[in-house]
Amino acid sequence: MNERKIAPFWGCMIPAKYPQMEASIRRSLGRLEVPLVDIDRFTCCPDPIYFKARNKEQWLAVAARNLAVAEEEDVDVMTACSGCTSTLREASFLLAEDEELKERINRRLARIGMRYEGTTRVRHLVEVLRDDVGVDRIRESVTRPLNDIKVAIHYGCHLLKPSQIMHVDDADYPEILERLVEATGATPINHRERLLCCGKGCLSDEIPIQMTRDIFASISQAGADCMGLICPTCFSSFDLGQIMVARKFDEKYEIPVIYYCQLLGIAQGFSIEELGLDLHRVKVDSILARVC
Amino acid sequence: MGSKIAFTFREQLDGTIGGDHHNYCLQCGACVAGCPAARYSEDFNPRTILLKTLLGQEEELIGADSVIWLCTNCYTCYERCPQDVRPIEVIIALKNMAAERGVLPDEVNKFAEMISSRGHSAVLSESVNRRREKLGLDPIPRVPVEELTAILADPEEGEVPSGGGAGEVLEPLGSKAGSQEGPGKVRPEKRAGVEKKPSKKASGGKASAKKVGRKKPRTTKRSNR
Repeated sequence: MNERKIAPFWGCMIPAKYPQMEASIRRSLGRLEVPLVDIDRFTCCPDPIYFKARNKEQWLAVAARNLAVAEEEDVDVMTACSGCTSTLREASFLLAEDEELKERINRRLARIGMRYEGTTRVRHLVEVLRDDVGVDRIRESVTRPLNDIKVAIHYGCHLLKPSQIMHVDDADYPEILERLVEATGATPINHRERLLCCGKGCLSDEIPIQMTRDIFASISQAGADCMGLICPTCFSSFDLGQIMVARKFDEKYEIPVIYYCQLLGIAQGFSIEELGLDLHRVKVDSILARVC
Repeated sequence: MGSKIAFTFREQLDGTIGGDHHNYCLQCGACVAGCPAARYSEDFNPRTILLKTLLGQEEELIGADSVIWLCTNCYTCYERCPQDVRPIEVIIALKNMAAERGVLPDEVNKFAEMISSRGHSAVLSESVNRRREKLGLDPIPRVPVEELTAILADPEEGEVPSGGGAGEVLEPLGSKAGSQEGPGKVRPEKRAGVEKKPSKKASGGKASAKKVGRKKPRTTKRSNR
């Protein structure tokens, strides 16, 4: 039993670019009676691609400060973005692995009267759903099951890898999202590029868009009605990304991309406005028409 | 390919966080099969990058034309490597070395700078808060950027060890931060007026979603501040 309160770590993209994800998380977890305590002192996690590429010690310092904030507030952290999950978990791992590095980072934190110890647990919300709430209670909260909706799950990279640090699920044969999608009444479907990276971290004009194209060719061939995912960075690769693929390759997929808590929220009976489903580039109407 | 190994470069890599694991590489190639960047680009191959680190080929690795920036950061190589090389972390160490020398792609630098100076990687504007309000969400809280400025500054000679315990006297944040130059420089005037005026509460407009509960955080007093 987890005694500590859970503080959501919203990061940057979700509250600023995709607040519909935050709304869907607050509502669907509220329905499941997961109490969340908001902390106003967090900053960017910071991002595990660019900020880390410029200076890893600074990256660790900012991550350690966020974790130290959680320690001071005596909360466990719940992330909603795979990037934040990756940064905060890897920082904890590295600082536990290397005592000298931890002291070096703590010398930086001492400047603001803080210290990182390593006592806070960081979990992505899908772990909280699986481990604290459980699939049965999620299923019981469903009032409008998404029967016959075929969901192609996109895991993304940072929830699972490296498993040495993340230990969320088997990195090659994960099933956490399948179980959570099934709980909404929808049917998860497999496809050949299910575990391919979204490409967002690659600095190239050609490669990421080609990856998006291949992923949509794959899920379209598998007959998916929508894509389900859990990361705002992947979302931007696929929602806006589909428009770019259509422009560049003249291939129109128009497969809606839906954050997991939005899917759950639809099944729990929340409205389109409450879940911000009207804010997506690729319209979600085809799905809504079938369940509402 | 030169016949000499540049050990100086390798020592510098050893001294960069995550770089020392390059020494464990046996060139088995397990990192290549699942690598998406290698799948999509003939130029990118994590095994070859690791070989170049073993030989110390500085210019190829961290020069302006380096392929390291094509890495997708997917961590498959880390997952596959039987030697705990953590190839992606070696690549990130190489990026840190490139950045140190000023060879950093513009968009990486701009993005990182945004986080250093504002504490947030996304643009926070009134329109963001209007969209949030429509969804029944509170405005985004102010980011404590002055704390970031302090911890991002380069360490000073003889900096006191960590402890943060009672009795430690801290300089006021403002004065310390204000005198720092470099990546962590504070520019409070650049903050979009998010914190200035909390927007009106969502008041049952037709399109507005119902307010979702946002519990107030417990206020924690830090005795040493």
